Amino acid sequence: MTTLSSNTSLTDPSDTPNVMSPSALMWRKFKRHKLAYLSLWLVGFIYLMALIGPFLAPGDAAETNRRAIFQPPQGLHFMVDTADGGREFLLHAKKMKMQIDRSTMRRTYVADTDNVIPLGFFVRGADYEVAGLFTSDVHFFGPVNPKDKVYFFGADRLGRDMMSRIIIGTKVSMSIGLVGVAVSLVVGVALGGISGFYGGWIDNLIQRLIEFLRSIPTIPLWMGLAAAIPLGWPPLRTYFVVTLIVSMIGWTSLAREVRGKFLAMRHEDFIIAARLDGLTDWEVIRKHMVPNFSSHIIASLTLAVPLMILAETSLSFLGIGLQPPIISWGTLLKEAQNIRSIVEAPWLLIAPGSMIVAAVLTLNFLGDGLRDAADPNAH
Amino acid sequence: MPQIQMLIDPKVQLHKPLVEIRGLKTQFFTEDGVVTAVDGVDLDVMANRTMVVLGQSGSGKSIMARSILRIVDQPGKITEGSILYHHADGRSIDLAKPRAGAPEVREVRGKDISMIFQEPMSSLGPITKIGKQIVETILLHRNVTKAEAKEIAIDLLDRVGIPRPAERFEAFPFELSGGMRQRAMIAMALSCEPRLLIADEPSTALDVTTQAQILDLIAELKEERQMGVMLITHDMGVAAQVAEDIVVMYHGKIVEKNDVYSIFDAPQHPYTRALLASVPKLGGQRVHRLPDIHELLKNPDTPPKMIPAKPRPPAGEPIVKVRNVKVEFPVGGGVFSKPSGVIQAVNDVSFDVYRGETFGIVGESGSGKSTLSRAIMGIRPPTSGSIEFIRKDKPVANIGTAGKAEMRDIWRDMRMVFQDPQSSLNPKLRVIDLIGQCIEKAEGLGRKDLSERVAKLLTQVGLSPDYLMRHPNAFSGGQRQRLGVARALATRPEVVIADEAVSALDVPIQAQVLNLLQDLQEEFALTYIFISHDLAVVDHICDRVAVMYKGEMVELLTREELAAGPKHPYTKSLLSAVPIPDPHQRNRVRV
Repeated sequence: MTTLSSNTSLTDPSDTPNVMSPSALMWRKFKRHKLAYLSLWLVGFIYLMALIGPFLAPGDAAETNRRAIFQPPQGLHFMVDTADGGREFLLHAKKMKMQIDRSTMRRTYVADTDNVIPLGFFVRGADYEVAGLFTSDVHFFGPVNPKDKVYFFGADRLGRDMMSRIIIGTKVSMSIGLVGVAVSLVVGVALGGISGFYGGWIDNLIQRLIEFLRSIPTIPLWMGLAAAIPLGWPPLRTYFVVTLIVSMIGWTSLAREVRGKFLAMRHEDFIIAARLDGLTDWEVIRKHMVPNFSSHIIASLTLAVPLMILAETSLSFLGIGLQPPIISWGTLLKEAQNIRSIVEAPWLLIAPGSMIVAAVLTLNFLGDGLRDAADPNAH
Repeated sequence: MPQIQMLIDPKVQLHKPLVEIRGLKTQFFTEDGVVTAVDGVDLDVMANRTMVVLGQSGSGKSIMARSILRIVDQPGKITEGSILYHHADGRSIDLAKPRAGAPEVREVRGKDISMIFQEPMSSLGPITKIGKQIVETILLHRNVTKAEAKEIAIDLLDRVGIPRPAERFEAFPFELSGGMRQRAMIAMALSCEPRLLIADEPSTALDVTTQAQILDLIAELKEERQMGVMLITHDMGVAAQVAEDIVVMYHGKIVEKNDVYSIFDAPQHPYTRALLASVPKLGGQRVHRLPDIHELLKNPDTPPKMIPAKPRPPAGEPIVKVRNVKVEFPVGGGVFSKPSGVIQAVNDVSFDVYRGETFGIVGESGSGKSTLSRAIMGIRPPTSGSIEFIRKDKPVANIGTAGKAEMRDIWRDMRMVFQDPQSSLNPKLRVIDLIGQCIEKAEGLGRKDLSERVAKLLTQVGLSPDYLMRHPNAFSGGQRQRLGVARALATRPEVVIADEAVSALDVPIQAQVLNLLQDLQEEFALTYIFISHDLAVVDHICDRVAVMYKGEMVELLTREELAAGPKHPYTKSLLSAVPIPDPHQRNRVRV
């Protein structure tokens, strides 16, 4: 019983599959991760906010206002009553009036429904410098009349606008993550690379150093180091020293990751083949090893940024990191350190707190997505 | 040997198939579109018959078998057809209809139909004792107490030929060798007395001698239990040795099915004929070239004549002299402790390789053949002994004492082709850099000259010069190995070491690469050191063969001496264990 199927076409198996390049494949995989893809946009927006903060902020972050101490957040309204009894579209906020209860000495704010603050896009307001070159007073969104003030996220104990302060603080908080990660990257890749590529006693030494650093409780270590910063230093120098302190620990996990990659890759056939091609050790690392784990490094860097942000926040919250007048999310949170402000003005905690949570979460999702996309075995 | 009582009466329903597959279509829904892995397969699986499913990788043979058990990986789905399974009590059920985890499917899976896989280590739980894993399977499907289950398990271990079964019952999978693990896996598959055993490449990962034992065991068990066996393989030799029926699959379709003798003696379909023709045969007349599957498929009615191999030119002067080479690996040892001992991977090996010949090194896994090749290459220099490389116009180089710079120079004249074309090509590099970087290092060519040189190399290894800017993932396995060959030839070497260079390839592709290597040898006056575990391949391509066993070279013989019959008992047993792709020779005695 011979069964034959003669209709099977015998295609020529020499056709090459037309496959996308590795980076295109990775991008496609990343896009499938919906949460990470959304996070990419959000992270992009947060960094945009860091770049053009003063333009996005509705007011001046440093300006105090005696009439707006602990003023609660104002709402955004769309319709106003016109004089002839009809309703008309006008973007506005209701003015708030401070009333002091004489017996308890408490401030309360009442919305003044007749008095509206018209709002608009690209309005004139407080002056700010653009990249240190020229001054501008155009704001993306804010009250049409520069004399008016709005407080969408409320005001702090000096009557400063929380929204503007959070937007301005983005720059310091997000950049400390980046700078810290950049320092960790250099130290981590260099030490991890040496450790993994050469092995032996130097590997042993570096690994024990990492274990030692990681065994020290972080908060006391940071506190000790931060206490050594002289109080008289200019804010900018403090800022850089704080970044260095934060990345003291950050590089260790990166170095471990890089070492693992090197160890795994050192005996791969294509690395041996590259050596046989006559490449020096340095060329093998630069041309063959680094391109193969750069995507992993990017992913772990993305995951390291939120840790840096949290570290800065906790340092500043404890009062040993950045000091006012530098505005960062950490210094903003410090304002909400006592129970009185939390009871009287919960927005002092909620507004910067949710910004930190949002930034940390989106960066984590982004890092997760990148890691999965870079890993050929992940599903 | 204790016999296990049969639950199935062997006389019942012998003529009725166990499984009837009709119009089966299994498709994978990927982002690049729908891939049809199994395309309209009709098949009857009979009890007490061994059916071998033969085909290249990607022909859909594994997916077809997995479809029966409904264990196709995501995103694969059965889209059409039926798989009718007839229970022993007369009930019938279509396995293709219910969802994969349905109770009626699970009732069949593992109990009536069980499966063994290629790599036993990955199918056995690594941290559970062998015995416990078997007992669990028995308790799941059979109504017995724990103590009885243990007894059955020990009996089974004994039956599949595991010595001291009561002790091995307590062993972990990593404590057993590859062959023993596969035996344990078979014991587990048999524990519920299946009516059909599906074996997916059960012996591919094993050495030839172990492979022969496992295949014998499966054949014995089949006779003993009157069960159906469906064995999936790409190895024509295995098929000829164990099959009663053969099904040939190609691109998801069955192109031919028949009994084993008809398939091997009078193949009908051009693909079957091409497949059989491209297998290198052990012994007999040496052929000049293996038939190319493309040519065979293009003119199926005029098979190309077998041209006997040209007599080899007389051996020239030695080009590589290996003297008393030992390679040792330290065992144990940590930060504070000295290594506790050494493994002699290569022990006191000496031979000469002559200019222009193909020198074969053959042995089973762990015999030290790869370590030896890496020692010659200088990747891991020998612990003691000397390796001299005598080049044409350069002074004699001594590998092992050469410095880094000198090694780089040596590596231009001695190149390597790796086993795995997947892992030996950097996925991030383009073809021009993959092949060209050694030329760039050696000669410092500009980009334009380089692309000309690489394009020429691509043409020489039978690839289109348009592929210069592609990444390796845009090539098939055989093409990637051609890239590997092109890279080896790029610096115009004198010696090329091919470490299992064709082992990972399908038979027709293997034939093409072997032909390519032979053509290039003539064109570039190359000397090959060819390492392989496959005696038929070595016999086809090599002039002289060194046989390695446990780190020592037990015999060095010419091809003629190998054909006439080796003297060393190990070589004899190795030769007799090789499955010969001829069913008429299946009853020859193994040594």
